[in-house]
Amino acid sequence: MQRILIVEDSATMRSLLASALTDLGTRVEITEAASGFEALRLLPREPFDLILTDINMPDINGLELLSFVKGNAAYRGIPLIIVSTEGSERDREKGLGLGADAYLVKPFEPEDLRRVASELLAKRRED
Amino acid sequence: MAARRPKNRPRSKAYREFVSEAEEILERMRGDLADLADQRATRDEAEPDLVNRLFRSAHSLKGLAGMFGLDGMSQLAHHLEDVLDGLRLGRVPLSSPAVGLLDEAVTVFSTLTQEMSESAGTAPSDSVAAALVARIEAAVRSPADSPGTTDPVARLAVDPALLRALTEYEEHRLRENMRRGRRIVLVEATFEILSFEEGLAELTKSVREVGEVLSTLPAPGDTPESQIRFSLLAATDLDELALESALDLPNARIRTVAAPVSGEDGRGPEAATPASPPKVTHAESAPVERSGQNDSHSGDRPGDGESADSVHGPGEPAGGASELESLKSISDTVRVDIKKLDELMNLVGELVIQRSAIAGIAARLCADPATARVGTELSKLHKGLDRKLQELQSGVLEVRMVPLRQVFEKLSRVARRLRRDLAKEVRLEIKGADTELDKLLVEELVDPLVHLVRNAFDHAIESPAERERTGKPPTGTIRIEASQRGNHVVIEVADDGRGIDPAVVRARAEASGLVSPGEVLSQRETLELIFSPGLSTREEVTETSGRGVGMDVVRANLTALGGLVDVDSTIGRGTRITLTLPITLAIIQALIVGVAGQRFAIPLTSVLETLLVEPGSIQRSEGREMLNLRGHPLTLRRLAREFGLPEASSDAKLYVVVLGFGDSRLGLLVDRLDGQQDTVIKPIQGPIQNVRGVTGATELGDQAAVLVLDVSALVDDAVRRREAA
Repeated sequence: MQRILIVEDSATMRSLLASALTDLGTRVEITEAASGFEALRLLPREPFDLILTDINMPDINGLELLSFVKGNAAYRGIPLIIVSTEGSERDREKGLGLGADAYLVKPFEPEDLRRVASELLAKRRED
Repeated sequence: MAARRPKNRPRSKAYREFVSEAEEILERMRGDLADLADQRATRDEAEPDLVNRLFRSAHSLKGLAGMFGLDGMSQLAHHLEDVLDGLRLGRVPLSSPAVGLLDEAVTVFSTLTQEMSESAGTAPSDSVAAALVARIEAAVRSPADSPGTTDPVARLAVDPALLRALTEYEEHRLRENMRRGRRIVLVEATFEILSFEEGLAELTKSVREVGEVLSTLPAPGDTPESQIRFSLLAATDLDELALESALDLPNARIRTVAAPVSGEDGRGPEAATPASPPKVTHAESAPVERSGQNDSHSGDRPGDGESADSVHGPGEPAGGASELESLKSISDTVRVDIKKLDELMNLVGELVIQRSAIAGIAARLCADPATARVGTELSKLHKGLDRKLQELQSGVLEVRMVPLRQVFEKLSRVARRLRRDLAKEVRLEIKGADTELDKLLVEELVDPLVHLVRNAFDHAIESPAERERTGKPPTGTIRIEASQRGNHVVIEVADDGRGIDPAVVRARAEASGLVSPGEVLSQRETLELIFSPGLSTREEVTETSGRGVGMDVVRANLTALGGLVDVDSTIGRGTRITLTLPITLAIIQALIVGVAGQRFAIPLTSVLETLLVEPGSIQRSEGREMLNLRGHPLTLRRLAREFGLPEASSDAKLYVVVLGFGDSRLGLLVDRLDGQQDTVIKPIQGPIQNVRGVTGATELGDQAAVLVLDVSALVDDAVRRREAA
């Protein structure tokens, strides 16, 4: 079984993301975090195989979370997808520059999310 | 991206969630926009945190509307977000007409959301939104951002990873602060990863007191498995020494990464040489010394955010006191429609009634020697069922309970608006925001409380000049305090204004025929007159006496909730209005009483005691019946007479049910007491629904319907009759 962490401050968006990820063809367990801080606390507790994060959040932003994940030997290998609302091309460039594995723009197609997530999870299984 | 399809169909759970989350966001935005309007009136620039919070709200709305394929709403949110983005990035000035349209945009968005929820999820008509979008577009015609030729940010003496993780907005704030010649510092501290939030909240708070926090970057600590280091990038006007003493954080390391540049010579600030030696390298965790915050906050200074970001329990650090608890609250929270809880409550209620029926059968079986054994068994079973039902009942009740905080936050906003409109200095003090009450009651309390606060503002608190003449501090205070007392919640709204003049109230009451000129009334009885419908609509009273407008409405609202309103006032010192109401309306323990062939239920919370009296001990005075209860006179009323039922023969012993509500007492004369039962009050439909003295009906275990007495109305009437007599 693989574990996915969803970091997103909107409860509705969290459940939309979670429901889009239920049919991946592989068994996954989804953990939801409502803020970056929440994610920071969850990271050491469970071995996650994929992280989805929003950018604009109340405490630390998604880029800061990304920077933490990719700058930490223990978490560097976890693929991370940014799921953010369209608008800032610069944030997108920054995200990919900081090592995000994919960047999805809201509103996203559930199929797109499933495809990207499946690929990254498969790759993670191989590693 | 492929064309969007509305995958999240109307009526779906996700759709309802959207409506409810959107409503929450909009409510928050309304409060923030009120603050923004304050700032717009008094200064050139808005507080960055406030604008950023508004931006994030608009951004969330856009994202949500987009996911649901609601194009009109999404467009509107997009434009809202654009204006706010421009504002936070300095591209749109605070004075721009576009900013003035934000309120309207939020209103339109609310209307659309409402339409959606009312039409069970059909997408609302978008024409209004489209028109507003066009107006916003027209209003935002501002010169584009012109970034400087050389980027000073690139020369900062910080880890490039930190700069890379800044969002566009954070970068803008950094640039803006450098342009103004503020010192840019990096404050670093290391915490235990499992408990970092409290320490970090302390640290952030201290830095905010002396400057602006631009970014918070987490990084692994020295032992990455168990520690986490945070780097706060901040801007301040203080020099390094002043900063260190102001911050006084022994565990944090502070260094300047860009020294301020004096004068506006256009030069970017110099990147600092790696600055002063760290005070201490790091610590296990930041100091966890908590200031002795109590339950009181005057959280309504302009910009004193009470948005989602900062709505914490009073005295609770921003990070959440217990890590476990906060984890739980986030991952395990579900949103439930109050109607579903009502249904559950009704089910519990019906079970409660059936349980009573079982008790009745058990008692009958026990009474007959032939079936006594089965009866005892059934009775045992009934006791077990009873315990579990009580747990279930209190569990469901607990779920319905919400803190008064939300209402109190609304009051803060009302106060803020009034302060702006009326040019009065008034401080709103709130205590007991954590007091819990049934969700439905909380909703119904909003109007009366807003009314009381408004009244205090309008009429009670004097102008600063007048206050100073009478030796009062120029700033008036309105104190709202909630507390639980047994099964009731008491909410006091007190002001230190001019108070109510009983002479004026009296004169007005006589003029309107409420009181006859010779009638003797106590001070309290006179003050109570402000709740009379005939009196309170007169404006002169409010201006001279301090109170009055719509107080009858407040009393009517409270009575409808099974509550009471009391007033206490001293001329020149202030007025205190006390609201007393039951914690829940859902299930009550009731005393069943009988008069002639009828039975009535009386909520047990209002019953102080019951007595058996000889008819001879009842005294008559001025047409009223009284009883000497341990030296105190107790007014009596005959329940039979109230409802036009035949009265018991004059020599029969009678039961007196002593009722208490607020500070008032009343003895109710009944023929018999039929025991105690849990009952669910159901509203009455049809001709008797508006009968005063009856609050609803309930079913007893034997399937008989009985009327539930409205104790507050009965007691109230008795007090008024005494006054009128």
